Amino acid sequence: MKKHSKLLIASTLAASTLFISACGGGGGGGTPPSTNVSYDAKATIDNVADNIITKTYTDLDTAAAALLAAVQALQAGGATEPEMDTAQAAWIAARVPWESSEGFLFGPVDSLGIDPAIDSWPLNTADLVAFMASNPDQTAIEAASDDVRGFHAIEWLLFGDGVADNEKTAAELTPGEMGYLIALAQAFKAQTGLLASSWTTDFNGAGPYATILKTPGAGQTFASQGAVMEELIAAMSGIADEVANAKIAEPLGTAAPGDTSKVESQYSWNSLTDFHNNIQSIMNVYTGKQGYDWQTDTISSGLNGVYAFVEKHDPALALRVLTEITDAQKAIALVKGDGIDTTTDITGTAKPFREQIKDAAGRALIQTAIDAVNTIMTTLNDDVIPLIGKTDFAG
Amino acid sequence: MNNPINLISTIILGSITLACTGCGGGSNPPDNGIKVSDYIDAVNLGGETTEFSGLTNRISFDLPATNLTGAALDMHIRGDGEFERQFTKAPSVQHPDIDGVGPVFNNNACLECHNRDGRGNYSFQALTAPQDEWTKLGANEAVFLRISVGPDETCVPDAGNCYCAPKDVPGFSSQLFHRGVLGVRPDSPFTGQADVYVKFEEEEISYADGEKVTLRKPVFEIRNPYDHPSEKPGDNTPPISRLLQQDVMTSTRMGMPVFGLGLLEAIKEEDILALADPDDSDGDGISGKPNWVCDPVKKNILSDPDPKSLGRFGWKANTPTVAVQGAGAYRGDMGVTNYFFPDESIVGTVLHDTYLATNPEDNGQNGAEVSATVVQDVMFYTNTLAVPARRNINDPAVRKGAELFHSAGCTSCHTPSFTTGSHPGIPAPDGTVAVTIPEVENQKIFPFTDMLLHDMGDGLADNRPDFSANGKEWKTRPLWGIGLTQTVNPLAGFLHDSRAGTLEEAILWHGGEAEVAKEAFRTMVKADREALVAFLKSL
Repeated sequence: MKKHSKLLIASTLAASTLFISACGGGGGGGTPPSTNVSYDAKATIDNVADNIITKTYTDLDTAAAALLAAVQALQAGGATEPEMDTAQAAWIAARVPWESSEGFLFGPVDSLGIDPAIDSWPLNTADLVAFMASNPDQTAIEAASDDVRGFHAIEWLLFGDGVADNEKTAAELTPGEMGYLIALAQAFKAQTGLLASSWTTDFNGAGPYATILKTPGAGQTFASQGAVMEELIAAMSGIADEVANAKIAEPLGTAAPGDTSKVESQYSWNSLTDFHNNIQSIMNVYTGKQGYDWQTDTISSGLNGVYAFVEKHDPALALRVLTEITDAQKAIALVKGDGIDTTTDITGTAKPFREQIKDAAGRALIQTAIDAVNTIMTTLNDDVIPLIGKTDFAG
Repeated sequence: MNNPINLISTIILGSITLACTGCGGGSNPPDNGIKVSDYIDAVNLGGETTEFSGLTNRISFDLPATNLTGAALDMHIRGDGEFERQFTKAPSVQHPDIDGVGPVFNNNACLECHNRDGRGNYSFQALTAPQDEWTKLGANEAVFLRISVGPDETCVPDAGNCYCAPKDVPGFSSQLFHRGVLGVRPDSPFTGQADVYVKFEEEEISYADGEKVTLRKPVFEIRNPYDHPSEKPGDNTPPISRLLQQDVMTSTRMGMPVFGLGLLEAIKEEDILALADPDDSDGDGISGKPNWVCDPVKKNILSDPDPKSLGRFGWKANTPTVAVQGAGAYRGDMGVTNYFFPDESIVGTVLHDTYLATNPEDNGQNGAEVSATVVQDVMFYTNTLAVPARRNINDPAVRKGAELFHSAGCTSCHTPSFTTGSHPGIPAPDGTVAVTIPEVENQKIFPFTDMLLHDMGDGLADNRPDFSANGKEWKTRPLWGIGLTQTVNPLAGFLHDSRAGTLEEAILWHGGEAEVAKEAFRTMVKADREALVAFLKSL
């Protein structure tokens, strides 16, 4: 998370001084009655922990298994074109749950160092090539530097360098690359399995992390429901900041042609889909429904997302946040340059992000997307997080 | 009119007095001039820098001092970005702004050892491995080993021996780097000077009431040293590798929290020395010893003939300033040279010379792998991270714990409060002050440390002298923010090697001068033990 987001969160919470006094348990006969809104966040927290976060991580692990199976089939089948297509599709499919998880980068994914181990960027392709020559197995991969393994190492091998196209053929895959791909996918699967089991089964002897999130209280990791809600909303704000001001803004730079080397998922041309799914992670936690689609779904506090909490305070604000998330997805979809904004399905990119940063029209669209994502962050920090200090939580 | 909160405090304190009298134990508060009332109601532990928003989540240690504004806040924010910077191998044509890690190192970003500016942790694989099963340290480890072959504890400090500075292991250095860039060990890709393995040993102890606690501690084994690849302890008698010889001393270091450091640097030296009693002349069983260390800024930049400074930072107080600590970590932990430390840690060793012969372009860039501006930004950042505000001060258990903290003798080393003086600033390449930090000056703070060394007994001894610190001495850790440690990083532990999984375990590892305090805790009734821990968690 970039500091300006954290700073805004801190300042808005500080302005809401009720938060500390509510936690302190003080107050005496002279204390005026609380004007806070009462809210039991249990249903929201339980739903987000089980049906958004844990579900997303188990989806990721399933997708990682499919990716591993796909590259193993690619090798076993003698690297045919259909198998190559399947492996490439499996990589793109695995990106969906991962990028949809970046709106809640706290807990095991943080402590276990999962993010750098599977999603480090940029790669060191020179070292990757040199290391690959030693035919490393899974164990060797797990001891290697982050910049020669993970999602983007697999991407580079499956899609090529992404400069002229993103359609590497099976024939272009060398035997050395094939072996390295399998070891990478095995190491990747081990990481996603660890992450999923930390939420479903046990996290360092303390039980499933989902349970830790769902059972706040004195002396626990999360001291109150308010602390959990704060964690969830701060994490949503954090990824909005990261998408707007790092993932998109850094490659864009201050002038054309930008810096292609800073474009994440540039080999597969999947960058815009990544950004979309990052915003989808905000959408999922906010609405309470994994895969919430603004075109077909209807918002309701009964979905038990953060929306329900905001709606309890301010129904108009609750809807505004939803609109801002939707607008950001539309703005990202438009960056591809084909003028179609009626769908959140941004696959079939007319022009990849790595090309759009180079010309004026594309850069204007990108700046609009940055502004839209920043709007989410600002609203979460300025208008939503302060609500925590105006709430009497049930626990 | 009475303040209602103070009135409540008075009532609760009255109850505590009765409770303590009732529970016996016979412990009298130490005669150290400290009163519980000095700290029991303290909330703004970092004075005006305190982060008081109430954040109790993963970014609790990660926020700027609240009195930073304007250009100072901008500098802090720049430093934050750099603190997260992941370095890659040099040279990098595409990313020259982030190259320079290694050729040997322990990690590639500040944040990887100081998890969200708090404590680091062992890998999940190590923490969950069956007892007696070794786990190899890999990437993203927050722990490393210091190594040396002297001096012994008879060393008499002077400028000539750099005040008994640790002596490098010949052919290695004073820090063991388990990671290397590709090419530094052609025989063992991504290994540094050697592989390091860890496992945990357990022992059980009992409270006076019969309740048992399992304590564990990490043990390490060095294998595959570069000067005799694949060798591990026991393979050869005597060992062949220089690193495996009997005279090599090791000591574990886990990444520690980095908030509040500027305040600690601004504590007046005379106030710290006033607490020192190295020979225990008052006979209270508590010494308190300053660690006088060799200051590289005085020695190498200012050419001071007596380059001695009071050690303030590091587990054994072996570095004098945040600047030296931070620049040393760039060069040491990450292998990123800078204006304080222009040479790689392994310069002049066979490993380095051999690597340079085939990789002449990775030459350390004459101390410019990271710029002076970036170093200063990061130093400013770590000087100005806010101390989190205290919580739950009116909780009866917390208030009772505050009393017990004093009566058990904890305050004899964990000095509650200081008022800071002036901060020396962040030095420029020529040794002059590049940046001042007035925000941390003249602040009433509650770090709960005396900044001095104490004998902590055999259980915690590393038996590796470090300047004036002998093999049993450690610096009193600040306790501010300690209650949020595992909120920030759920896998974090306590003490220099993160052996303690809980605050309770950390107390039980105390020995030496803290033996009496530890025993006071061990013999408390359960409710009192819980109250004392509740107090610590409020910090």
